[in-house]
Amino acid sequence: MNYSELIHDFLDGTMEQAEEEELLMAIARRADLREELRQALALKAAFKADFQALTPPMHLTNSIFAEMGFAAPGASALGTSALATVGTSASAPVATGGMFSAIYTFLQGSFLTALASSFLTAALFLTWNHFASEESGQQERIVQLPASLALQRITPQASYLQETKHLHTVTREQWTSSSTHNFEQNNIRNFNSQEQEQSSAQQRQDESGFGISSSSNSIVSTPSDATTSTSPDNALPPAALASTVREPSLPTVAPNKQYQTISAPEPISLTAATPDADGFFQHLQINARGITSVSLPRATLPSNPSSFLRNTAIGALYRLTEQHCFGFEFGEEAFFQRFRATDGERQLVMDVQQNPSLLWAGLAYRYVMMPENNVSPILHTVLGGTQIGATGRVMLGLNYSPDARTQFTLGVESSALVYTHQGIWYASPKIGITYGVSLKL
Amino acid sequence: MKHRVTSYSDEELFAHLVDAGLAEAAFSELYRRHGQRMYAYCMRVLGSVRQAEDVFQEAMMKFFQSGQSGTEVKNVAGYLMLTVRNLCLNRKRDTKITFSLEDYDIHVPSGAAHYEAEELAQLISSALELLEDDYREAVVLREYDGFSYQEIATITGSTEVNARTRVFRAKQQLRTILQPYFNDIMKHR
Repeated sequence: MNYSELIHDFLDGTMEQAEEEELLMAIARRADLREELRQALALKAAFKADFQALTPPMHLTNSIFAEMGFAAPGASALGTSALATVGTSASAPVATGGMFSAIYTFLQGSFLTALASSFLTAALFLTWNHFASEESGQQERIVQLPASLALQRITPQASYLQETKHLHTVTREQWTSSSTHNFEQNNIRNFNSQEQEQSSAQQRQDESGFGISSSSNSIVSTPSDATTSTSPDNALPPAALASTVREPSLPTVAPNKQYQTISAPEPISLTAATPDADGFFQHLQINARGITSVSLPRATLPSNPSSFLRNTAIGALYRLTEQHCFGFEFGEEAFFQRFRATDGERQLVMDVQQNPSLLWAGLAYRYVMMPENNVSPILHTVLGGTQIGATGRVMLGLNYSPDARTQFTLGVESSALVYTHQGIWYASPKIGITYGVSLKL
Repeated sequence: MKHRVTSYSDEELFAHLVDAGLAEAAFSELYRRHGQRMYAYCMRVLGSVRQAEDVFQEAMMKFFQSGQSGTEVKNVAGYLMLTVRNLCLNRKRDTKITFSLEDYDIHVPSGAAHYEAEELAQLISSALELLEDDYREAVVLREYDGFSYQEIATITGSTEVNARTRVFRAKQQLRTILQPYFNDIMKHR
């Protein structure tokens, strides 16, 4: 019997029970077989140790994945046995936080969700544009109307207020057809925004016996009228009231000496954050912006092709106030990485360069310096992460608001990816410009 | 998908390579499962780091492209192994090098008093290169890649008995090559 073959089968696990007993008895009797078994065991252990040392080097793995257009895999792409040999510190750049990793996993795993979000944003944009154009049409009518405006404004005179208790209303059409004054757009906006106040002023006037009865109608709000109708001075004696109204540049008394009101059944809100806008969604805004940036130093490798989110950021912000917004933002951007890797097994030090396109997500904060102006400086920051490290970005730019709901943004943005490899921290900074649009819901 | 790929079979992952949205995660998982074994095969069969890396990368690209083209594969590990093996054979054919025992001076670590797998592993790679191609390949497929004799027979186009014989003889030859090391160990015991 060839005991060498039996020893081989024994270590191979392919031996039958009867043969095993015979071999063990032989080994117990013969020293040469014990030595042969010892050597065979050593050889088997050596195979295992040699195999564990044969891990695909990181530069090779990165090269393969880059050639396929994929981001370099993390340590998980290597065999676990390889990790045991190389050591956990020799792993590829790893994610820094479970939360970011979870967000990344969610984003990556929910590609369709991201796609749907993009379409939703586009749909909201188009929908808003549709309504905005209608609304702006209304505005245009209002704004253009003053060219032929023949509104008969009435300076409240004490005698009239004393003598006339009956007021009648005019519709918007009546107002527009008979108007001649050339109001400025801001005055028209005042008209709309002050209707609420005027309603309450009307109520006060009713109570004071001025006879303005229809709650659905409001007094024509010109600057002077607004003063007149909303001023608590209405409750003053006529003489005192007359003295408070000074509008020399505006035409004064109507031919029939009657107050004229217009019908404005549905107030038109031109500011999103009206005092009654207390619903959650009324404080939300959706942002979509593009990012054009370069790595510092300049990337020497092309990045892998990626999804539609490439160099794009999509987010939602909640306006705590008109100046301060908080929310989240996610997107995708290539970060050029250059770090040193040490292969302990081969005593090699490698300069690794890669330019993966990474999904990022984070918490966003936006500060609008002058929200009351159409053009305002803004500061936009995001703190978040990618699958291989933390990322932060700061944007300084300008917001242009053509209307109350739409904002266009243009700014300079700086971002950085911070990651660790083999216990050493690295940063991949970028700088560029960003441009985008925000829609207030 | 990333959090679920570990539960997918090789064949399911290979089928996902055609899906642009899932290809990266699927390939990463396949690479994690089989990359080291294929690389070890290249290293030990070719015996050259540069050639092994070239062949390994080429094999991975071919494997990925096969998946993207929708090729149906029932045994992914075997298919990948065949891909790697064919490329290795091509490379060896193009750069035929003959070895003789005299070309190698098996260095025995001085003062070695124990069977140290780490030390022996350093000698194994040199010793493997002294084996005939068929023997070296068989023992690498068995001891490094963990294939069964049946799978080795399929990969190499031989029989199961033949595969087993090759592995056994390869080990015997390795023991012979490494005998100075074992003797030294015995002397210091």
